[in-house]
Amino acid sequence: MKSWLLLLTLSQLAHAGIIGSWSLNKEFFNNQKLQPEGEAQEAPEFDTEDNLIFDSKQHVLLPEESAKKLALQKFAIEARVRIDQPQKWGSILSYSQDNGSYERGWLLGFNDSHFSFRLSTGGRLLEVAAPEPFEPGEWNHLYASYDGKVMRLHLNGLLVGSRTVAGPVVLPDIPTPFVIGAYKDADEFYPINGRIEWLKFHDSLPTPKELASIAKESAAVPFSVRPAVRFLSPGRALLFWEASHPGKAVVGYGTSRKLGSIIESDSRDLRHEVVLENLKPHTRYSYRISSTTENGQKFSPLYEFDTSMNYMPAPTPDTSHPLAADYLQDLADQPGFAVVVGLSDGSLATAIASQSQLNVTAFDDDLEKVNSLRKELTDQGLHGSRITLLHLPNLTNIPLTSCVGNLVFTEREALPCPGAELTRLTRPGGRIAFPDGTLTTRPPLPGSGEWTHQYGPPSNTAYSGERLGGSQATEDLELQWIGRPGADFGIDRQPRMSAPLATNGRLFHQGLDRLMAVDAFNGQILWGMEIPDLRRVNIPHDCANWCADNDHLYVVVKDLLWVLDGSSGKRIITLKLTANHLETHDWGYIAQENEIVIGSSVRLGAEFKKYFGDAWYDKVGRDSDTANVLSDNIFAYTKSDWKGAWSYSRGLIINPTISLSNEQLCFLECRSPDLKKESSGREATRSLWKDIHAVCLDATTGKVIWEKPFPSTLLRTETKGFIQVSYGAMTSEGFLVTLSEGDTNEAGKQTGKGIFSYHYFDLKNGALRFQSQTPWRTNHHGSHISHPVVYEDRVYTDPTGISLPNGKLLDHKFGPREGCSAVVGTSYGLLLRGIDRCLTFWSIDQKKTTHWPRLRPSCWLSFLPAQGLFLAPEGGGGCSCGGWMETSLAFIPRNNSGIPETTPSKK
Amino acid sequence: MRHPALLLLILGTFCAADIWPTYRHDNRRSGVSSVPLKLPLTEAWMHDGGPPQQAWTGPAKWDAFSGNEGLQSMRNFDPCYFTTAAHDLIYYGSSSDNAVHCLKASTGEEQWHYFANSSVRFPPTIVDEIAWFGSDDGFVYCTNALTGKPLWKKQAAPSDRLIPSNGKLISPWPVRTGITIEDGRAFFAASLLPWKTSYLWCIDAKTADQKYLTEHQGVTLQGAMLAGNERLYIPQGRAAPITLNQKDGKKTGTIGQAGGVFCLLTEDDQLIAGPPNQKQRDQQLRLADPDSGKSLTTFNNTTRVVVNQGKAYLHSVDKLQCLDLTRKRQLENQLASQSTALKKLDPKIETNLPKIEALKKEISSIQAQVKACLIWSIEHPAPFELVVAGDQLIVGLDNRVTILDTKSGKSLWEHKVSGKAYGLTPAEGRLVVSTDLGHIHTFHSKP
Repeated sequence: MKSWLLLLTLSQLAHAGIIGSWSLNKEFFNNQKLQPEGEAQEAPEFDTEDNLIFDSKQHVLLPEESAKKLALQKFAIEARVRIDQPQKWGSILSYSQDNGSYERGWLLGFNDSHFSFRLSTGGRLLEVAAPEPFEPGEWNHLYASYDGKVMRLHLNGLLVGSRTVAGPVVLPDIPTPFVIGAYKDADEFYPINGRIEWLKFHDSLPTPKELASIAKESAAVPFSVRPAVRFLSPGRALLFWEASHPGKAVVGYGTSRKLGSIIESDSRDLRHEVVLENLKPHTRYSYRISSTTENGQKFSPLYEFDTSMNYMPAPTPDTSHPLAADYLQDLADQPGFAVVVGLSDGSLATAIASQSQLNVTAFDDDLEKVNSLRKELTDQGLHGSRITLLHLPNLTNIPLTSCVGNLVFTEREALPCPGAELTRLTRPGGRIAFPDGTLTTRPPLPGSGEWTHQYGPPSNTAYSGERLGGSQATEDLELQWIGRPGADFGIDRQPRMSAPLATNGRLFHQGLDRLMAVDAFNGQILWGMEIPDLRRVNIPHDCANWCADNDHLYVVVKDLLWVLDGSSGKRIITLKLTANHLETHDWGYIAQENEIVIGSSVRLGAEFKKYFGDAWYDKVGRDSDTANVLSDNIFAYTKSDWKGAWSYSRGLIINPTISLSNEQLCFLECRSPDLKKESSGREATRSLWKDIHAVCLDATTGKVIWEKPFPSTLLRTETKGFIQVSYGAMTSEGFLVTLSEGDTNEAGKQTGKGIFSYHYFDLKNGALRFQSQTPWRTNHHGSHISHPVVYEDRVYTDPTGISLPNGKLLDHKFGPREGCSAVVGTSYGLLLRGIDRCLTFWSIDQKKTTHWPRLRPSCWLSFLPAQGLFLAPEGGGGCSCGGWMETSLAFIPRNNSGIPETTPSKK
Repeated sequence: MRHPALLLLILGTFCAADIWPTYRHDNRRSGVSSVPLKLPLTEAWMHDGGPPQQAWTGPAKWDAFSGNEGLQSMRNFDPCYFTTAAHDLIYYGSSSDNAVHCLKASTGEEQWHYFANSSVRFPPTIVDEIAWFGSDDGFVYCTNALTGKPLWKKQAAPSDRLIPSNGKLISPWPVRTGITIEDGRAFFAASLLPWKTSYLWCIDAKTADQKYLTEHQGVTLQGAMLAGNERLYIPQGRAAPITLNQKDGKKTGTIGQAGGVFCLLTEDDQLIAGPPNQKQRDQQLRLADPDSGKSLTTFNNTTRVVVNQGKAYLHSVDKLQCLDLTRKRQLENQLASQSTALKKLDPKIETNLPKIEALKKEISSIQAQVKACLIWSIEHPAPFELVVAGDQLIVGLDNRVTILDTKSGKSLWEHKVSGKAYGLTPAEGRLVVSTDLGHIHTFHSKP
């Protein structure tokens, strides 16, 4: 059966409310006449699949009266199309006029490379557009719908755009062409280039089940685990995925979209791994997977990976030394740095490089020996890349910042420096090997915190307990390392993306459909992975797509949770959603604590992915910028066996409010049954904020500890105002809900004024301890969506905050905060984007700011105090309006850095 | 020419023979040698220095908010191992193995090497029999150019502290400006972090005695320093270059219209630099007046230009071109003054109309003359580097190097190389081509 017939049948069966249907297949043409109605305006030509060729001239006119059959407040238009050439004013099916201020009707089409749906309710044509560009020449399924309130556009079964609109569609009241394959009105005509297999009108809306079915059918190669690329060594990468059906799998890849190279997977079952060899450096590759099963051959979409992100070390020739294996045994985190103080003959240093991925740096005081070994290593192409030798006249004090080496040792029989110097050079968690054979591990820096979740701990406090060595100003910190990842890693200012994480000496960072693990103390890239389906943005209205513990990185990729080994990036297991959501949902929330991993299910397409253009998600009062991603359920796995522990499902859980602490899980939930039934999984607060409850579960059992109706909001009412953003956080005593409430006038327009309102529930019983508020400082650049920094005794929200546990207004302000970043806390200060829009440190004691010039963080949260360091992986790249340094770096408290500085002598 | 005596002095330092003693030939970084190569050339040898380890990664993929794609790197000052040439020897500094290497020009055989403690990002500057170079370790080194024997080293950084950076150890004050030898003095800067003081050094080129040391705040000095018109020019990459007085090292200004690390001084001491920023949707170089800081001309859709005897050779939109830059600038000045005069005339005043008409005609005539400044234009891929040797224009391309006739654009010679040809050194009868793979190809005339 031809694919279009299959889809047509499937769709017809699934959805009976069809009031018009057109197939643009040769079978339905009689010369230029289209059955049952319509006429091609050029002599029709058909391709090998018998589809009518739209060649930038051809278009089909339908009877105008057919356009008027459409119900004006409840309809859907469905199409299967292939656009071969992006253009302005691309139209697949239209009945509209756009003549100056006279804009009427509706249109399903595309603008440049983005599918779009437009309609007028009497004013201008309003548009929803897919955030991602379509791939020219690829078939797509479009479903545009309108229910009298919300326009929605589904692409291949997934929601890609929606907006609130009021009232029925207003059709043109002048003669208007009803056209397939062109935009045509009284004075404009833009035919398209591509194919339209069929089109349908519905007088009903698509159901979630129907959309899920379309999504499943539209998926090209059906993956049970989507593909990813992990770099192995220079020029080599591992591409891995799991198919949903056994069979032959072939990968086409190359440096252009024409691909060129082909490699076949050895596997015939579900799991596939292929090693791509001889990859060019600094090159963007495209690839496509084809899968041949009993149902025929299918192709995946075109994916990309970039070898500029391959920082894996080159292997070195095999050499051995009796001590090397002992030194390396169970040493995690490779690649990293090995620091050698004092050489013998270089054989141990060379063996360490050979038997590990460590970057070996050796200091020695014998220049002749150093130069001789350097020459040897240079001839092998190893010096400076895997092994570096430095000459120092005196080895007593090594002029290297502290906390660098994953492994620190001497080749000599006696220490050439005090033992304390070796310890100083070792990073926390790193190994010190003394000449007598003693191996010790350096403990964490005192007062260091772990940043395991989006806002530090899973309690979302944006404060991990990090003391940062008592630092209160930028001059209290010294640069620890600088370098990769750089500007080419990210999306463009990392717009409202998931924050980096830092735990157990590792820093994890997300970029443009990729992630990287970096040694927090020395900046060495540990591993990197390119994951085409990774991206999630607009975290203030959703939750992060990852978290970490000491051993694992938990990464959400579509409907699965990938549990990765934090040290190597290797995937340990994938966890699924609950059985009732396997086909219809994606994985939403992710957190871990002790033995429990918590997840949630969000409806397909609910998460935000748009980053091109206006994608700051903070426009005051705009529905699309107040919309939260909602979970249909929340559930837990246990780490010990990776088995499901419990699940909870009642209303719609507001993702940014989910908080976890001390085995209590708190969130806000909308219990409106109508919304639960009708929601697309993402709702503006205008429709969401009804029948809201605060809920606290036992995170180990899923049982309700308490649940309370949410009290009245402080500014917004049922008829006025809106909630821009809503956050949950937990102290040891309470569940704090922070809402950003905006005001509207009588006409419903936002006034620009608003408040942060605080609602503090007793963790024991849910009793409301207080409600209080602070005014917005301003209403742009994320100020009015500021995430709070929550200490046990106070809360900071731009520009001031409240005391805990009483909710009284603080008597001081912090900052000023500038630009669009979030704020995080240390024991002694706040870190923010402040002076000159650069990274800034505000001292709690001194109430003063200091800053690092030309360091620009991301447009949400790309810097964090953790591990005893201030870590600032690159987040601002793409911002062309400034001389930003565009680099990753880390700072160490001066009192831990180990090296006093001097000013050079003038004479 | 504003200061012919000064230019003679600069040229006099280096151009006694067809050597290439410093990065891009001279302190103006002109990329111009007066001596042509004897064609055809054949490949004599290829040296593999291993992949360069650049200081910075590439630029962001796009400014997605502005819809601006194809952002240029503004800090790619070390994409290959640039070379210098003198004494029938070829020199390069390695960002990979931290050494300066000296190769015999005729065979590629290594004559000597000298290791620093971190990357060397610019080739040594050769003055007489001395090789000068700086390193990411915060030191400046001097060796005998013929033997590699160390003469002295000087710590340019204020401390010997080292920090990790991209798998290496560097000073927080690396020397990434190269060494500029001018009028018996050597200039270099130790700089990286704008929140730390940066240091500009001036030392006696013979004795290494310090002449002065000046401190600079809020800057990141990186990319080859230039000297001309009693000034020093130091690029900053993602920020505008600064200018300093050669006499005392004091900052005299910032050239706001400039940016990036591709910088050259024209024969009349005006600065061509770029990209100025990443806001433009095309790739731009701008010609700026160092005195006023104003932009005089913008070269659109281009990343490289070479100027010789008033002629500019550049690439724009699939075409390699030769422009009469001197004439073009004269005409553009006239155009600007006539346009200003036109704006001042109110067309509502009837008596102005004949003057307006006359000015419009004149402007139209000048515009036609500006167009006529294009001497030749040929279809050609975009180059990674352009230099001139006598009447030859040498073009570095992806996996290829070509030589064209400067007068006509006619192709004279071409050859394959491995990688992107970012570095071109025509000197002493040879052409040395450095690519992003770390390869150094050397071509010589057929015996």
